[in-house]
Amino acid sequence: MGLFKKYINRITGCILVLVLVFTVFMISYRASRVEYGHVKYEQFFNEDTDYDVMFFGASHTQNGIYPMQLWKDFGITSYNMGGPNCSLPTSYYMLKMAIKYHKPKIAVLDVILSDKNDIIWDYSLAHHYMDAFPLTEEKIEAVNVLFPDTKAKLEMLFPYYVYHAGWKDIDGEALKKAFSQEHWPTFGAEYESLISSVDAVPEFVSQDSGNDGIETTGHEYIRKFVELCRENDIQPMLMFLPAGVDEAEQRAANEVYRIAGEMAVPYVNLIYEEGLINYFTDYTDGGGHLNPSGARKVTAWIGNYLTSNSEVIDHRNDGKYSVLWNETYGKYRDFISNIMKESADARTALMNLYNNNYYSYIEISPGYDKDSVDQMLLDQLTGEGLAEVNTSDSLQTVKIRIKVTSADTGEEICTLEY
Amino acid sequence: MRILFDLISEYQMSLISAEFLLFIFAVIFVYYIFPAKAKRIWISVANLAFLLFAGGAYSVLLWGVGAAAVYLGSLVISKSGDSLKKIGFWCPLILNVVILFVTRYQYFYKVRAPFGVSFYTLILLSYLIDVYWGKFEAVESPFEFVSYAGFFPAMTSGPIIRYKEFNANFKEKIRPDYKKITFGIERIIWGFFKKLVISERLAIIVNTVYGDYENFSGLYIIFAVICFAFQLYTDFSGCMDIVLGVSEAMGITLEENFRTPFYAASESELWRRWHISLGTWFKDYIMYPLQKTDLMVKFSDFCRKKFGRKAGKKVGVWPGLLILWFLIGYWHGGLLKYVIGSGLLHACYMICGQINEPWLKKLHEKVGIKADTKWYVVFCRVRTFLLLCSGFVFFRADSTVTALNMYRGMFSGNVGIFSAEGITSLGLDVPDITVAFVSLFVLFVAELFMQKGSIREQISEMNIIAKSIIWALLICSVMIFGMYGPGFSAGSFIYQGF
Repeated sequence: MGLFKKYINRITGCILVLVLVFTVFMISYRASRVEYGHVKYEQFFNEDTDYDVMFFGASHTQNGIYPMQLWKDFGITSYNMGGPNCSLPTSYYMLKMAIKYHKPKIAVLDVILSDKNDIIWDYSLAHHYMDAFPLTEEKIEAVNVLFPDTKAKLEMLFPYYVYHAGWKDIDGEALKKAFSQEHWPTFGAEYESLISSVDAVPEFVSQDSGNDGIETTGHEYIRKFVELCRENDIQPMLMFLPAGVDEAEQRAANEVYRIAGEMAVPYVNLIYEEGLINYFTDYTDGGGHLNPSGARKVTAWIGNYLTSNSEVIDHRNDGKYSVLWNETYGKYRDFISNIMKESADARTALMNLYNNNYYSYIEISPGYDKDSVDQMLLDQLTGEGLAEVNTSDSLQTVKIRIKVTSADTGEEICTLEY
Repeated sequence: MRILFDLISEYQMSLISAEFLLFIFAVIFVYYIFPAKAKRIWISVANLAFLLFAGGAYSVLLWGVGAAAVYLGSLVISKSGDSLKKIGFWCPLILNVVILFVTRYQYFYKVRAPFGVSFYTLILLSYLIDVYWGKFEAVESPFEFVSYAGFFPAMTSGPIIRYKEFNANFKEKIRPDYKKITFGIERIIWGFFKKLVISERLAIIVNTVYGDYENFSGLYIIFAVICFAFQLYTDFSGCMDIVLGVSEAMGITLEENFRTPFYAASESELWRRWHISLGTWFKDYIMYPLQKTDLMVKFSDFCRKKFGRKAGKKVGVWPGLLILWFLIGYWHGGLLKYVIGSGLLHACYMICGQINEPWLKKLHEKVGIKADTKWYVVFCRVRTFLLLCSGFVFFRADSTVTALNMYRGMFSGNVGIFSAEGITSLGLDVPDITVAFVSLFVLFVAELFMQKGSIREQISEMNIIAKSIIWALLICSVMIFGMYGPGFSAGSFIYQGF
């Protein structure tokens, strides 16, 4: 009995230590980790639903496609897997890790910077997309290929190696976040409420101007992406989102036509879609990343394309999807409304209002000094039937007043004054 | 497998790395699977693997040359007549000393020192000398020899193990013992705590002040020197805890290298508590043989006649003491600052202590100070600590000149460290300073309990919840507050550089 008691004590002691250490570890890990990846991918791992389409690519994709808009306007279920600085090799491994959890009907890859030979472009943001994925065989393979040295590999596989140093920043707020399931209600898309115009509309080379067939690591991984899709009965698709790219990037995008042709994969290069994007109103950063105005246009185009050219189904009346997705759409609407309400200036507000959820009554004082970009934004809203604009002498210190209402119910959402 | 290959080809393993933890887990796991006779073979394999990971093929080669010479030389000593005995002794000794001098002190060529050369040279030489003195017969089994001569936990920073004590561990069959394994793991955790939570943190303060002592003068320098004493102690003894912990988990008991040295009340006692294996090595193999030479015997007789029996006995030892401490200081790096700071300065303190002892005793009697009162003991401990720190000014400084400048700087009257801006200008913010002080307090309390005996035994006798909380807190402290990861370079121990 004495020996038995001794063994029980030993086992209990070991278990107690492990439980205590594990508990403290989980709390400190969750409180100090980089939040970005978790708020972005939480829905992917935790929502009990299927995704007909998954989008892969870098931050251009992340900012450029809105799954919630695809749901609302087309009934397409999708997830935006694009991550900051995700190279093409990274996107390939993201697909490989993702299909372990959800297998889409269609996987769309944005082929930006396909002329690069780098396996990974910027290590500093890698935690933003890698950390959300659990430790699996696929993740170990991905880390082994994408990260050059042992320390970087260990850091990616065991990110607490990095996070623990954030103990000084753990406060009540951080502990609260550690236990919350808070995430973006956007199915992976990032909503960047900024507007910055290009200096001039870029000049585009002809569509047949490529890079003379020079093969790159980017091309290698485009092929691997397509092959992986086919091995898993997923329909691959390539796209290039519109960006104010320079000639080298345009040629790189055009070179992908060759690969798409060789592999019989549909490829849409949106920089040649005339009239799709306004380079003065639709970017956060002067021609790189799409803002909500630009992203809504591109998403609408993609939605129309997928509806006409693929087997996606409109699930809006399908009870299996509609409850969750409609519920999330409600949260999404509140989410973007809050962002809209916090618009820093009139131009940003007008950009955010390019959304068929809103109808706006805009009053402008005679002294409002609007430039051509402001006028483009106003014209965009009135042209789409999303606003009416009037000049008002009653405005004194306020130059522009925008009364935002719900397009469905007419209920007032907020009034913005600048 | 690919990650394992990358580990082998590109990494230099450190004792405080995740790789080392995986390594020892694998080694100990297989060690207990192997039958008793094969354990030494496995240790030999692990030794060579560790040396390869830690120092590359170059280190394995140079260690191999030195070890092979000692192995063969010791066999020659054991099995041959007198003339060959001397060859069997002197050839390997000279070879290893030359390797040490050429690679470590680099007077003639810039040659990379093989990993652990300062330590394994002394380990090899102690074996060779003990065989030559007839303390034991040379071992014939190469695995038995390699398992000792390259014992991987001791290669980084010691202790300088003796063959007889090491071999005694294998007299009885080594079986997995729950107490030894858990005590070993507990000791490893304690070592990580000292190194990652305390030592690495204090290093930032020390580096800031020593790197800019002209601006950080006055009390900043004194504070930094005191911090360095704790930094060096927790770094070195933390390493020893890991080394002894790994050994204990393997059922191998090694001699302690530190016995709460800051509780020493005199210089002599201090050096019986600090880096014990180095001091005893030099005493056993340099100082005592030196004392027995004709010259020294004659000198001792002369001193006894000149100064009387009691005083003469002390004076007779002083040359040996000075040589001993010169060599100890020199062993650290061959530079004057080491010879002074970790050598001759302490010899002088000991000699002064011996000179002053008689009249101090009389003074205490006259004034009524009792040497065994608590306050007097505390006074002696603080005094000894400050004497130790005085040597560390040299030890840590770039050079002797810098050390002397720092001594001069101590009296600049700069008391800026007492302000909030002052203390936080040393590279640590308030949270880190708090952690440093709290963890030093934990160390102080732990060492206070160690005066009564093994603290792990004391904790093991507590109730299950209390001891689980203690060890869980320690692990969590290392996990959260440890200075590891990107941005920290806690890769090596200070004594690994020797």
